[in-house]
Amino acid sequence: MIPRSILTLDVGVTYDSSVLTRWCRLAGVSALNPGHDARPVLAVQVHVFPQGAPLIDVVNATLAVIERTRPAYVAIERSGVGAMPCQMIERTVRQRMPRQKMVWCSIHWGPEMKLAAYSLLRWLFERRQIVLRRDPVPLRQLAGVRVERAVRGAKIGAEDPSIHDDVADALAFGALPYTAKGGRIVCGLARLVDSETAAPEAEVPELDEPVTATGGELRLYERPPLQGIEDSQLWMPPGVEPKDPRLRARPEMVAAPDDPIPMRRKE
Amino acid sequence: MATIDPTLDRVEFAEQILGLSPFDHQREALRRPEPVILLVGGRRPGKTLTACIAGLHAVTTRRDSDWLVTGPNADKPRWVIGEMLDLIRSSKIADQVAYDEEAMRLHFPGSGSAAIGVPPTGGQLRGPGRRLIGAHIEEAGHCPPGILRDLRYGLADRREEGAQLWISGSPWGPPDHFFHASWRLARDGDPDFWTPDPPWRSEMNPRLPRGWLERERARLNSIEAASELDGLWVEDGAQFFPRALLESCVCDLEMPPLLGAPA
Repeated sequence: MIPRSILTLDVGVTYDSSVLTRWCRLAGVSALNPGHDARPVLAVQVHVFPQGAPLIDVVNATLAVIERTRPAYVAIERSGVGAMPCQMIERTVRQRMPRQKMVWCSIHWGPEMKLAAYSLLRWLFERRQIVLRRDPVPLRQLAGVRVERAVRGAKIGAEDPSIHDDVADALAFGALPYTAKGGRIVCGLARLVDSETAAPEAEVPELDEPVTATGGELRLYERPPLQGIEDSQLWMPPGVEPKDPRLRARPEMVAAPDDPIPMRRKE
Repeated sequence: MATIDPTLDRVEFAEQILGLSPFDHQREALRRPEPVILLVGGRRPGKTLTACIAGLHAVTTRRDSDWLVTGPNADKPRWVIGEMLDLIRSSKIADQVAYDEEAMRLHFPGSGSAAIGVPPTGGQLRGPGRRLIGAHIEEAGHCPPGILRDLRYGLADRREEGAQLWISGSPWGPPDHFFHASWRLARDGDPDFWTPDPPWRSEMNPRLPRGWLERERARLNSIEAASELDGLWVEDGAQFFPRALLESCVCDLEMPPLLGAPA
């Protein structure tokens, strides 16, 4: 099972599509990038359901992913059409996995929360802490997001509430925004991506695996090792091996120091 | 009235063999001889279909020739090859094709030619010179920057026979990306490049309901509308996530599937 991640769901019914995203932390980034300050780097995957997909299909697919991967955080919009799916998913997961520790982030989306969440995304893009796939749909939609003047401060998006923002919103839910006591908007993700407060980066030896790079020249393994979003538990993709054959034979040497599960187990 | 030989003319091929009736703007593109054809436009004016017709014409009228299809990821060439298969299956030459879905290969055993989908990696695109009669880069703005270099030399071997590179997509990519740079070359009159001027707009497809298009335009912000509907390269200071910023964070990693397969 892959390390624990963040899962987000934006529910759409007619004009907007439902969108599921998963945020996984990449391991071994510092080793590939000399001078990197070990700030967490997150790979984001996006699945856009067909427009008009029945809500029950969206709920079932999301439940299947949750049961299969046990994410650490699940963020779903609770307002609007997301209300019932959100309740259904949370209730079912609690019934099926009563002992599973999972943080539920029920999002009551509004202009201020949206601005806070999008701003964190922008911060992470600027700091090269997000890696997106070359998928035209989310890239186009993100490129279309505008900040506009509003009566009180700034506003993200357009005045028309029906604007396409399903993918962008689903990504912004990954900021794990919530309203704290006193009405202040807080993004839970900030703690998980700040190298001062995040879990240490899992140690990864040099791997026998091709290296690729983002447009910002951040070097990454094509099949990247992953670690938990809030811990240093390391996961290696099947077939990816350390370059040093001695490490292949002795998996305990390549496990993260505080990792209860070795990187590789002998069969 | 004399009939034009469909083996010599792609519009006739589309009409007589595939049973299609290309729009006027597609006809113009299908008859262009330049080595590089850039179909830049909004959504749904028929960019991919036009390139598919060119590809099918290339492999059905020549022996032992390959047409490569690539795109931003492995899914896109598979989808384009599927579109080509659909066109063939509803045509007069439906019985002449064999399809290997796993290999993304549309094969014509009678002529030894094939349309082949390949992921956008240099290793896949470099080298196939002698058999290569053409290639199609779909959603080019989202493809890795190096693939044009990998493909264009492979096409040079058979340039005299009409080998062409078709590049399609809605506007995306920084000025130094090959899609944007090639479009500028075509716009500025480089004889090796051609692009429709102005770019194809969504409304050029008469099958799209005009009222829906107008409502869609109202729903999109001006940046998205210019790019998605009018096929224009636009950027303005109000973009919260500028394209260059997004591009700096893009990389195709092989991640565990999000849906459907074991983690």
